[in-house]
Amino acid sequence: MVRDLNGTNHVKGHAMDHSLREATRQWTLAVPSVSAFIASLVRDFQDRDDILQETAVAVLQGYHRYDPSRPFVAWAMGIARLQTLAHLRKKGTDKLVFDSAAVDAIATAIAHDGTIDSRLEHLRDCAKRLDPDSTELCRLRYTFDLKPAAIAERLGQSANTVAKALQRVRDRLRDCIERKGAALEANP
Amino acid sequence: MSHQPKPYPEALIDGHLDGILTADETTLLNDWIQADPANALIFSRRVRLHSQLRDLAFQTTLEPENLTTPPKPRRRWRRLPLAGVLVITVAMTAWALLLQPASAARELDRLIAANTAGVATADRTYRIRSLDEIPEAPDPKRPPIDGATLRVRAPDNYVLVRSQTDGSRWITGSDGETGWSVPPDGQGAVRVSRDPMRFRGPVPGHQTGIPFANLPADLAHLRITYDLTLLPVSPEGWKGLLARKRSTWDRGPREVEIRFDSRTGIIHQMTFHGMPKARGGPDRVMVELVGQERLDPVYFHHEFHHAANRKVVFED
Repeated sequence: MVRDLNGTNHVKGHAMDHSLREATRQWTLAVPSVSAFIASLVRDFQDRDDILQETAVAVLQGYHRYDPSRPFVAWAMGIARLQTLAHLRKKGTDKLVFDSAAVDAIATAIAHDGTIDSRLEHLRDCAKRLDPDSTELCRLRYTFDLKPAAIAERLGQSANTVAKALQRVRDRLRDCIERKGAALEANP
Repeated sequence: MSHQPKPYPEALIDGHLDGILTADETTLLNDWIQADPANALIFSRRVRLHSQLRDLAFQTTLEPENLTTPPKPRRRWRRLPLAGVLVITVAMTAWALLLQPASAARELDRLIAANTAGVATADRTYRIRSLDEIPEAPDPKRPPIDGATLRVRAPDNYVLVRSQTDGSRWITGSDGETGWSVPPDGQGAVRVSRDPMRFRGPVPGHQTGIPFANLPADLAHLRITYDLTLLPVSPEGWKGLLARKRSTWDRGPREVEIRFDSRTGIIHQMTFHGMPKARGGPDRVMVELVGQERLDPVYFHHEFHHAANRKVVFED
């Protein structure tokens, strides 16, 4: 009896190891997409990070229900959507800023955008080329998660000026990333 | 109705991301996103840029020399009577003690979130030490794990370098597609398998996946299958978590102690107690972070670690 039980446990342990390994591998590859999806639905990075972590746990716990014939990223984003709603409910609101059709369109766009893998590396290079003022703006917005009004208070500018400056920085970074991506395609 | 927001879409998208849109503008953006898949793609790429800027900023912040505090706006503090402060302090302390398990889980959640943000590109180098009093018996076919170096890249690349007593090196690893083993010259052929996990056996904690390569997932595994306790802050100022295995079904080590800097999310030490020893090896192993230098992608391929004329055997 003991031997049977131990044998059964051992097999289950192996199966769990393999399943967990595959789940973690797929999850890690999906993180940039799922993270962006969550960021499109909530505005605070702390919320994004919390929901991403809750999604990671839910994905690993529910991996046995995943149908491998379906794209993993789409499945994980479905879980992220539910976790986002649950997170927002805990914070006292029960709806997303966008309606269901818009959220579906965002999920589809993220899941099918195949140009993303090298973007973070490009972004790293492009960010290094920003002028000091733009770098400081990014530091306040992204390292310290400050909104334009809070940044404006620190810099002695209007919130509208800061919002427009942030937009110009993002435009420059987007253009730089696209140039690098195009150059890489021309000279692989 | 035109679905082209004014003045142009990026302004509305950025306004949404920065939390400054009015309700009407949010509705306008909502309608624009679903009007055309191309619009949703523009939106998703802008959000991805925004999300990656956060990740990039976080990774940069991980470097200790970049740790600074934001300029603080003036706050108006109301003076509390000393007795009130003491009551609040005692109440908070009691509350913290009562909720210690939840706090431990919360610390791990924060750690997972911090490492999730940096998982995409961070390479890490660890030094491995055996904490057993009795050293491993020399075995030419099984170099000691004590003194080994482990380099990892998420999600599943790693290289483990172990040194034998004569100084020769036995290197195992994975480039994510294949697993491989490079014994010292004269001790057999290089072996390559299509199973990326094929030669991971000597790596501490390998029972729960490639340890440390995928930190968020490995930590999430601890969160699910281990009981967590907060440990006192170490002399280095690092917070500590002790994870004890709940079930013998799980093949991982009996206990895992994690030492980390709560400001940065950097895990400096992981100590494994009660390592599975089906194939020998130490009972207690400490893994210490010694570097986060970016490694060349070819480093994780077996060809990088042996001469071009070396015999290579493909197992499958």
